Amino acid sequence: MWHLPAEAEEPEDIQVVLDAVDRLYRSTTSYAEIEMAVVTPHWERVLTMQAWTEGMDKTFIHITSPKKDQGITTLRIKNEMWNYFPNISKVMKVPPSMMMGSWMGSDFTNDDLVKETALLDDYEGRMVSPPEAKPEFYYIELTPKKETVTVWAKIEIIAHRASYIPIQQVYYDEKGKAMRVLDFRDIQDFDGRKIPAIMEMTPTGKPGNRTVVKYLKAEFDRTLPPDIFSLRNLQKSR
Amino acid sequence: MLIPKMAFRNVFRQRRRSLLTGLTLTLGFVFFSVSLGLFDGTYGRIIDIFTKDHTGHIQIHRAGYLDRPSLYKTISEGEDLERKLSTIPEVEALAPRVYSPVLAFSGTKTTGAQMIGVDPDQEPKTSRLATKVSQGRFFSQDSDDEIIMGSGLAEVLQLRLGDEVSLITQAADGSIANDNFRIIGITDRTSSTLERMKCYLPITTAQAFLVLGGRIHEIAILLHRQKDAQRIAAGMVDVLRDSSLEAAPWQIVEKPFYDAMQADYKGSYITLVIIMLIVAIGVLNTVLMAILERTREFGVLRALGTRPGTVFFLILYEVVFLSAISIAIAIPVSLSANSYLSVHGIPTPAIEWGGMVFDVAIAEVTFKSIWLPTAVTFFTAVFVSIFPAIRAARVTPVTAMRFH
Amino acid sequence: MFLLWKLAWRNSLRNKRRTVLAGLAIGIGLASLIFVDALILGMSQSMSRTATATLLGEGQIHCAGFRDTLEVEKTIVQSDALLRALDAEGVIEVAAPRIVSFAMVSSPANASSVLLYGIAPEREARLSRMDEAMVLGDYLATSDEDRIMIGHKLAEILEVGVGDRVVATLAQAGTGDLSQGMFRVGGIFRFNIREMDGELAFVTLTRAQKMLALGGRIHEIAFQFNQEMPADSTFWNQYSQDGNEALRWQEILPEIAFAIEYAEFGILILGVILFGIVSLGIMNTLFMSLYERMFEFGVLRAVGTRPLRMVLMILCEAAVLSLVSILIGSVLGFGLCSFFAGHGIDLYSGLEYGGITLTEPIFPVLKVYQYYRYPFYLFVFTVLVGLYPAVYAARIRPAKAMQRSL
Repeated sequence: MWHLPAEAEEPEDIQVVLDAVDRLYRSTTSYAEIEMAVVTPHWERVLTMQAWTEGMDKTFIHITSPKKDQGITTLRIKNEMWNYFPNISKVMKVPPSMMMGSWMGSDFTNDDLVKETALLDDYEGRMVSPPEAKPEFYYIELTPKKETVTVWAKIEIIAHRASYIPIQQVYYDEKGKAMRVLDFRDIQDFDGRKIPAIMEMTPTGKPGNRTVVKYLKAEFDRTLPPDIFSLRNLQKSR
Repeated sequence: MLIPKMAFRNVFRQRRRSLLTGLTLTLGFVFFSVSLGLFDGTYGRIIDIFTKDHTGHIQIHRAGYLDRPSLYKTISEGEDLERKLSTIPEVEALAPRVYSPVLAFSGTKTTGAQMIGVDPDQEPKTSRLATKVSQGRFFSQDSDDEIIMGSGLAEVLQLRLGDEVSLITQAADGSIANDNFRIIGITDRTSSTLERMKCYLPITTAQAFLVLGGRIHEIAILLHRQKDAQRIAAGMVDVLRDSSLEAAPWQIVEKPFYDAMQADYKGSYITLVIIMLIVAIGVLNTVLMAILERTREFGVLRALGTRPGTVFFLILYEVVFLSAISIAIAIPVSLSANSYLSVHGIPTPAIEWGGMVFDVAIAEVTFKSIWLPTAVTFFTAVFVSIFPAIRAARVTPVTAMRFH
Repeated sequence: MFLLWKLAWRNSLRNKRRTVLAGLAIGIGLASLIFVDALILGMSQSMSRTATATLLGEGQIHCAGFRDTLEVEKTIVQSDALLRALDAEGVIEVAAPRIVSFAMVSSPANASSVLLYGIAPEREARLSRMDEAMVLGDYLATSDEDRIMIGHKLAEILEVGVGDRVVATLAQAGTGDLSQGMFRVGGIFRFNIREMDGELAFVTLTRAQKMLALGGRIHEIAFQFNQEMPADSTFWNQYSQDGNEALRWQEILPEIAFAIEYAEFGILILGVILFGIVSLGIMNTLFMSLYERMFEFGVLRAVGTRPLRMVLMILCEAAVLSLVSILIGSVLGFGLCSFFAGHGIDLYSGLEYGGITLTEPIFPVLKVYQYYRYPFYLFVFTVLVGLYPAVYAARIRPAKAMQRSL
């Protein structure tokens, strides 16, 4: 557990850092090619996909491999989410009961994809100085604002001071137990931006489970094909 | 040898008295025996109906599956195991099954459900599933896209026979299982709410859907007699230990039901005890009266010089013979009564429970329904006679002959 | 006629031992009948109480068809008017409005599917026994819009305690749009019923309505009477109009009602058996007393007593025997019932049956009818049984009778 800060840094720094983390993989628009490896005690799979985003509200993902899942698409607009399964040619709106379920079997939930909670808007941030603090990092403790709907009592972020790029995010429950750890590494240059190419999510309660997301390619602020964030696009055969 | 002979003759000499006493003993016996037969029969029937519905008498799973079901806790080489199990003589039928939670959707409606993969040949022999299909039909052969829906599920999704439904879930290899199925059957509306939210696929279809290969989650076993369940299940422990499987009799699989039955059974003991008491008192009354009535007679005997001990044993032997004869008559009567009732039963108010209708109380012919009444009737008669017999034996002749 | 009575009494008293013994035997039979009747009454009342007090109520009103699918949009028609009408009804003790909906409740550790109830706390406390079932934390207050009550099993699955945060996710009415709400666990309850403790969660009515975008509509009104439920259908029909349906609890949970019916049938069977055995005792006693006085009866007949009078005489003796038995039996029965009415018989406690748990011992219920109905049956039965020896006595041939000696 981290201790109370000996001295607090100015709030502006926190806002900037949070904003940067929020916008890490997003921009006005973005396009990325991603490889996601899911490891569980029973199986291991690697999915590759293409993902388009617009602002913070719209996401469109298209799975390109493996063959069994090829063609499955996910569309998110604000709070709603749909999946399309080419095998059965059906579009399914994700019901509330599935929102907390995992996305495509990974350790990320549907909710994670939908919320992509704006840390800036929904959380109060505070700089802290834990005993093992390294000078090149910011250590920020986030607590959800009163109106924020979330199960996490606290999120801690460690980010580079110089670039605001995060290296780790830890999610805590009410009792201060770390439930999920998100690690960022392998900072590379994508289309002029320096971003960690690898995100690894490890749930602490489930040994043998982890998900590793690897960005293979990313482009920002290009013009996207029209009507990409639409139900019709979900079903378009590729 | 004289006393028993005398006693025996006495029984037949005093026809009316013996008849009345014997009648009490016989009828008391029969009532008691039939009550026992009805109790056992009714419980036996309830258990039968309940276990044949889906559970079966014994279930085999991967160790730990019953506590926490999981897609990954499977039985491999199920067919091998099934073959071995069918060699057990007490086994009547067995059925392999596969389970998975799924999301079922059609049009804009989505809902959670439980999917069960069943064997089209084995399942109808092992459970009542096939008879529960009220619309359409059961699986005839392993057709790839056939599905049987619970009525509740069909209602929520607003689907009918012949409609298409999509199922989505996570397969055993991590991929997203998704497929369309055609509804060829819908189960009836009387099942419990839980039952109605289930859907069924042919087991091979389910295995392919879930990417399970040849693995299954459960083997349900139906025995000829549910009473053998615990014994047989215990006997399987060795055979299964190597493959880390476990066999559970229905008493464990359906523990709440079993507990309720046990408590009910115990409660019925009160009724049985009361019946026993009534029978005992009836016996007491008649035997006592019979002895007291003959006080004068015994007085005469004593006056003639008969020793008290002789009188005592004379009385006792009479009771023993009379009881033996009454019981000998009562046994075939009870047996036939219970047999008749085991087929025809007694009509009761109709009860609908879990989709089944109980409107008749069936008896069961059991060993207990013979030996328990025998013991109670015999020992009560003898016990009850002891004290009055002693008194009769010790009576002074003069007082006795003045008795009236 | 009066003479016959006097005779009958004196005859019975002549052989006190026999009369008392027989009376005792028959009386115990009567006492058993009374006791078992009281027991069954106690059991059915107990089951009934438990079933209705834990959430079910004695009756419920829904929109027709709601119970089958629990569709959010199927709300009660004109619920405000209905609620007002129910409150005004003299026979209704309390009526509680509710929202019922499927929802997911998630915590950092886990997510679980539940049935979410929106309740009006003070009304609900008067109806069900919720406030008594709390084991940790507090029962909901009307103002606790962001508190949720969950069962101890659910708390275990979610790994949360009082004060911890959870998120409830459900689909709104009409659009099916996602609605998520954050709550803090205000209290944890324990009903000792698996489904309730693991699959139910409670929030305030107003909060549930907001989350579901239902405005002022509700799904269910559960109510309790302050007296015996009305036997006829007028009440139920009155509230089953305009597309709503009002149901008795027996129609909602038929299994319990059936169990009670079955038990009541059991007592019928018991009664038959009892009377069967008892009849033998009666006949035995009457015949024995008859045979003893064979000579007397011979004399009576020789002297010219009409057969009818003979019959009546025996019947009167049967009646006397019956009265003695009734006295003994009633006292015994009363004693037995009173004793156990204080202690209760603890057979089933902790047992779950048909979705309810019997949590209390069974107390026999003493009712006045037990002490006149069963004795009456016994009296009539005894006299009827007495017909056989009575007719026998009437047909005694004087000469033969007076021949008997020893």
